[in-house]
Amino acid sequence: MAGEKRITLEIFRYNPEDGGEPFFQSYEVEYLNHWVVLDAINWIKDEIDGTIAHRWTCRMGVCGSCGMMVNGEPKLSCHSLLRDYAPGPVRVEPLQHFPVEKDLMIDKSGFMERLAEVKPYIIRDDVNDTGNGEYLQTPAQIAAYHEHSMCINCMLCYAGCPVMSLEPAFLGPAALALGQRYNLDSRDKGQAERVDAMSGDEGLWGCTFVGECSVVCPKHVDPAGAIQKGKIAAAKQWYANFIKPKGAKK
Amino acid sequence: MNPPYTPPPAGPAWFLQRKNWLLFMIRELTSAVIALYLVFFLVFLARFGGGAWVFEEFLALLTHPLSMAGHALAFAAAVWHSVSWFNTSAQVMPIRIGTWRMPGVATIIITGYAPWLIISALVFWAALP
Amino acid sequence: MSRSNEAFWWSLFAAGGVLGALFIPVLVLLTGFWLPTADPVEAAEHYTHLVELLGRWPVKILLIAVIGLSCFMCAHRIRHTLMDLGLRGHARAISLACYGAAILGALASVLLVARI
Ligand code: FES
Repeated sequence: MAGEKRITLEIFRYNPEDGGEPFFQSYEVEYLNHWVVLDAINWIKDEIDGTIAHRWTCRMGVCGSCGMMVNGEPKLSCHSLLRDYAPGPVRVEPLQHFPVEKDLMIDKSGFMERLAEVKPYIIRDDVNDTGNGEYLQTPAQIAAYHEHSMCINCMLCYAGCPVMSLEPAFLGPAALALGQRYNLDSRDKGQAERVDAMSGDEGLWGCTFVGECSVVCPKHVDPAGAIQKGKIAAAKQWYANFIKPKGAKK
Repeated sequence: MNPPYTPPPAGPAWFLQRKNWLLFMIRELTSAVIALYLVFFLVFLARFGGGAWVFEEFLALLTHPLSMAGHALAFAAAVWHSVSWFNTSAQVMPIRIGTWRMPGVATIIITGYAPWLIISALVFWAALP
Repeated sequence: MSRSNEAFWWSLFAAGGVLGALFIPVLVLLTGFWLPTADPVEAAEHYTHLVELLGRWPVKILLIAVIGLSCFMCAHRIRHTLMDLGLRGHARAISLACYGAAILGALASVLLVARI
């Protein structure tokens, strides 16, 4: 192939079937100027070593399945230009804070369970009553949660968040931001149903506002901001319950 | 088949792994320095309440280089706390009018740095004869 | 800590964080550098002026709020930092020690400022 420059990728390898310890395997790649890390891994898999396991779909930063640690940073590998890492080598590892199924593939089942815990859908009693038309929102009402709704579930924020290793039960940035996104939605009435999952020690209060989730997020979801807004709302609720404890404490 | 590989847990020095984690830890540790300063400030109040003579004696002690060094450290920690606190204000409490959202820098200046400057000047002005 | 308690302590932390960020740097400059480096005549003037200033109740209340709530800001952060440094097993003891110390500090600030 007609590569212009050469760079070495050091890829994390782990195979659950051979019982061995993980190790790094180096591959040299000739790359074109517009290649991203994902292009190089795909080329290696097609041309040199078909045993590498990794996930990807869209190659355009939309599906959120290609997240990896690139030189220690959580990155979408389809959005990381190889030339930015010249002269190399580039170290490619599975996302931090997740169990590794094989090579660059992490086990995302824990993440999926966390998403479900915050009930990320509009909750209201009359949700089936569409006879009166849609539930309208003003542009300002949309703006209140819009940025927090842009998540592509790439899990880079979980790799960037140190609380994930300090408190493994922590709900984590994306799930909390998603819950808060619905709490901020003017059509939603489900705050009370999310309180148990979101306001525990493993929820909002597990966050110490390191802020790295918002730095590594490729979609500017700002999970850290969403979580702090959630803390303010929860604190206000606490004082409201304190003054008027009618059915507040469970 | 073996279970998924679980990376070894992070030790107590986990915050050295990433630059922003280290900056976070420094931010949190400023609170330990500020706590020491608060203890000092309580002593200061106690001496102050002890009368002019006691207070002036105490002030003479504070000219010691050790006190100056301690206060320099406390000042650095306090400023670090202020800066890191204000810099997050656009994330925590964004200013919105309709669909317009104030740019982050403007929010930080209006809700953080400007009041900080004005209050500092006012305290100086009020505290000095 | 149950979730409702955490919301309470966090609100004190947040209030203390704001007040501390606004007031503590200038207080450090005053107590550490400005007042000690005044000459004796000035120092005497400072004292009478400060007594008069701190004799006003709005000033007293503001100073108590700044110092007392800053104690809770520090306690909250130190508590979380200790747990993050590997002491999660002692969460209860750490909470008691940190918030206990903050309560004592806040009480001390009330007493000391009130008697001026
Ligand atoms: S491949 Fe879809 S986000 Fe990278």
